[in-house]
Amino acid sequence: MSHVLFLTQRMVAGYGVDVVIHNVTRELHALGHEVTVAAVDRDGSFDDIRVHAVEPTLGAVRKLASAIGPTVIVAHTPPFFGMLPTLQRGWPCWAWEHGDPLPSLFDADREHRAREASAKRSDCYPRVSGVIAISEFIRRDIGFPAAHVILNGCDHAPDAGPKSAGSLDPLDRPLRVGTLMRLGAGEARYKGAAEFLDLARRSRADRLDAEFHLMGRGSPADAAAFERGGFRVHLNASEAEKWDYLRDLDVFVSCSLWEGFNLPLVEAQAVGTLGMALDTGAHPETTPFALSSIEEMRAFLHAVAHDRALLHAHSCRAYAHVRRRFRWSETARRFAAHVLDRSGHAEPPQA
Amino acid sequence: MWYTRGRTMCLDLYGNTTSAARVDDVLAEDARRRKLRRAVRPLRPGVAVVAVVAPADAEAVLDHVDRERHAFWRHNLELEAVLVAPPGTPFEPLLRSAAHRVLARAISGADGVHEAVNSACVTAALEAVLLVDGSIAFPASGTPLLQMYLHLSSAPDRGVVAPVLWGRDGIASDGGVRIAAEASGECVFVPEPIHCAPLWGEAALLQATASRCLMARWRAFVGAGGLDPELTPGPARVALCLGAGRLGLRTHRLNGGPFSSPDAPGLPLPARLSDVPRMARRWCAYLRSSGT
Repeated sequence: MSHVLFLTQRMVAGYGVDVVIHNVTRELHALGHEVTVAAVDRDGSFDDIRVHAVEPTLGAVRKLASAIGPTVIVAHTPPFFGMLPTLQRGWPCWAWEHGDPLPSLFDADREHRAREASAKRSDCYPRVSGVIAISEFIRRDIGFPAAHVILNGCDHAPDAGPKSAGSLDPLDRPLRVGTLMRLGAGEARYKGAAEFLDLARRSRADRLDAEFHLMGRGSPADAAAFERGGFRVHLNASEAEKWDYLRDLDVFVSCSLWEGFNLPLVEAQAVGTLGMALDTGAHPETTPFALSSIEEMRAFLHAVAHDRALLHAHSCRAYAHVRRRFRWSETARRFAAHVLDRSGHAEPPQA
Repeated sequence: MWYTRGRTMCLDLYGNTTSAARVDDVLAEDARRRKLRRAVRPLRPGVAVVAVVAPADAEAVLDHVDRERHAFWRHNLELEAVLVAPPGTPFEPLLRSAAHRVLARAISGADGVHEAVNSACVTAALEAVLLVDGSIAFPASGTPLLQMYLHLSSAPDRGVVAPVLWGRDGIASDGGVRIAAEASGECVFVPEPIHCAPLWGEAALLQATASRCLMARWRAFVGAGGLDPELTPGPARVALCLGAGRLGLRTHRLNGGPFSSPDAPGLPLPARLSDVPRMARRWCAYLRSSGT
């Protein structure tokens, strides 16, 4: 049995990394391994696994590691990546990379983001036991070809099976189109907020009979632009509300310009909803419908709105694709095979 | 090569393309497609024959269009010809050829053949477009274009129809492309088999075709974004069919010829290395998810 120490900035619902750590931890438990999760911020959303509070300092992490004696330390987010080369003296350390959005998609801290990514390439990856990438895209994007690709899962999503043809009829009801993303000006560019608003505007100009929905974490101020654009906004929904929302949509759209994996897109498909995204980031790996442009999205929405049999066929296709390809048990199995089976027990840290 | 090990499109999703370049590409592609869609309306019933043709072959194309035009008119359909000069060939001879014909015009492909073809198709404002290379010989008799159009327009889910192309030795040289996903994750492009000589007028459903002669419903052509200027001709035509298919518009093979082709039997020309990631990113997951 191995003992894994996962390090992350936050175990707070709505950020994606928390979902990965939660599900991998559960699967590693099922394989007989022990896992300790240490996070700077916690919101109590994951009370079925042990989550320790940790200060984001090398001393605090070293103290925790010395106390629990992990077989391996795995960092998922900054600032812990930067500590790994030092911690590597005492324990095998791995970086589990979820990636960094393109700095050019941010206005406020573009240079800082570019420097952080560059520092990881030069100071972290070559100086740790190994790097895990959550998609083939991330393996390329982080500029470290030796990274092991371990895909995320999707089977934490409730499985009600593919949608029935009847549930997507009749033609006289509007097509329900929506997305799920964090709101707020800081991430709006990278999440493709303007592109999604544009898609809705063009679809309406095209007289598409559709409702446009948006779910996400944020404030009413963050939602204002979408509400002015005619969207129905669902702010800060619960987990149960999220699953109902994703299932009730006819088409889930991601206009994001960069994604290392895009869990909401995969989750939507896993509950039976047709998911489509732009040909950006890891989307070619996570949906069969990686489209070339907003204009192609518009044409595609128009086609499935007027042909519900086509919508049903594509929904089933998306469901089968993600359910077959993305399983947390496989994520954990590959992690165990690549990392734990090679790590052995480390020497205690140097004083 | 796209057809490495004979026929395989490797799953090289990203190649050397950076994230930033892909974002730029998405935005550029959007502008290109919007321009394509804005260009025309309303459509008239009929066919625009858009022929990429060297001057030496232009008269044969125009002769055939003239010969079939009366049959089209009897069905209240229009038939017009647009000659596209490939880069490196003189444009003026095509202009002269078109100038003394009815409903014919010529455009230069100097800035890109696919861009010229796309422009010709949308400005023609007819319900269907025939994309044909000058190397294809039309049948000496009959009304094959009319038969293709009637087949295409007889059901709403038909997007593309391509004739069987026959080599000069009497062997079918192009009957469509079937795309299979292998366990290795690679997509294999194989020629659609033609087991025996198909009956005259016999149609078959295809996944796609890379044929140098295909007729597309305007809605399928524009909906699929026309011919992708970033791809070489074979992959661009396959992508056109796949794009139409994703919109619910199917590709058919029709033995409505005999059209003849100088190509050897088998697959069309290989693609450029740079075609692979673009095709793979947009189509491999889609094709693999179909269970083919």
